[in-house]
Amino acid sequence: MHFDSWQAFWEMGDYGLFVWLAFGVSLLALLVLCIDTLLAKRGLFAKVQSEVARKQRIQQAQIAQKASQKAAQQSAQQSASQRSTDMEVERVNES
Amino acid sequence: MWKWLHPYAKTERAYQLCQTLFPWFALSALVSFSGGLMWGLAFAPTDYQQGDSFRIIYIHVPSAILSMSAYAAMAIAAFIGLVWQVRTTFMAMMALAPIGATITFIALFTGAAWGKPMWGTWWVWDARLTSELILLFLYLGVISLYKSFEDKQQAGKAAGVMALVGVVNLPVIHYSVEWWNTLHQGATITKFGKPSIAPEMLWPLLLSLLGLALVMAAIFLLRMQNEILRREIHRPWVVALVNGQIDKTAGQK
Repeated sequence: MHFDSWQAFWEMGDYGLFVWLAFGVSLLALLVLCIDTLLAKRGLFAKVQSEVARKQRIQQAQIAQKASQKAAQQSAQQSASQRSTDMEVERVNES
Repeated sequence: MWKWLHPYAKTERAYQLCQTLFPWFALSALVSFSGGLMWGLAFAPTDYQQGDSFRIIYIHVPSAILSMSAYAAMAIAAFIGLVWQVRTTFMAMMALAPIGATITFIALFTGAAWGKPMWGTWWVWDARLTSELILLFLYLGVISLYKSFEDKQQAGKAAGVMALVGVVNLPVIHYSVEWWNTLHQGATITKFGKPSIAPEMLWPLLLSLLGLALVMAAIFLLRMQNEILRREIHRPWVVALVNGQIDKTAGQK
């Protein structure tokens, strides 16, 4: 080591403020860049996930919609056939 | 001759290449950059004129050199994208731009912190300093031009043209200390012939230069992956990749 003590190392021959300011800000800038990169990656992964979940929800909603439509149709048919049997019964009664 | 390179124009292959290379670059970057800085800060001898303030050289010179190298790399990516219509190189261009801007900022800031004790001022409108500031604005211009287009193919072309035009600034920065009689000193290591610096000071400088280059390369690999994901977010392979990642983390738990 070039310096005699840690004290001397931090003082940098009275230029400590400038040397550590330069190195500190540089490392901070690099750190900010790294954090930004990692956060962006996490955000993109979350976006893909939410997109997948949204597609699944749409699919399920479509299936549910089709099922309810079918049920409605069936019940409509049933009530229609019920009415026709009622009418037939009436006709028989009349005759 | 260049045929082996073609598969990497495919985004999926490029993404995987980044994935494989990243750990190696990250590890070697950490070792060489911290090694270079510690060597320069604590073990290199003191300058007989500037005292210990000269130690700022170990971050200032690498960042200044690499701010120009990153710009050159970005411009080459833009050129390939424009000439051969390769989408992937526009992604590389946009992955490089923020890294270059950060490094240019570091070069300017450390220069100011060095200028204050040695020149007595944080800033002068000297040719070297001004042209380096223009380099920062060029980076920021490329980024904002790309962001201002909704259609990213158009955005890549426009930002690519700007990046190419800005190349004219690189020789201006390099030769500014020769063309104009300025406050900034001349070249020390990036010149033909013997470097005018003692070897005990030069070796840590070269190591921190290599270290910072590797740090930038490692960050580039990550940002390149992000850029690919951003553009390909609806592709089946991206969805499969994200789902695979989730399964992996779920398995670890």
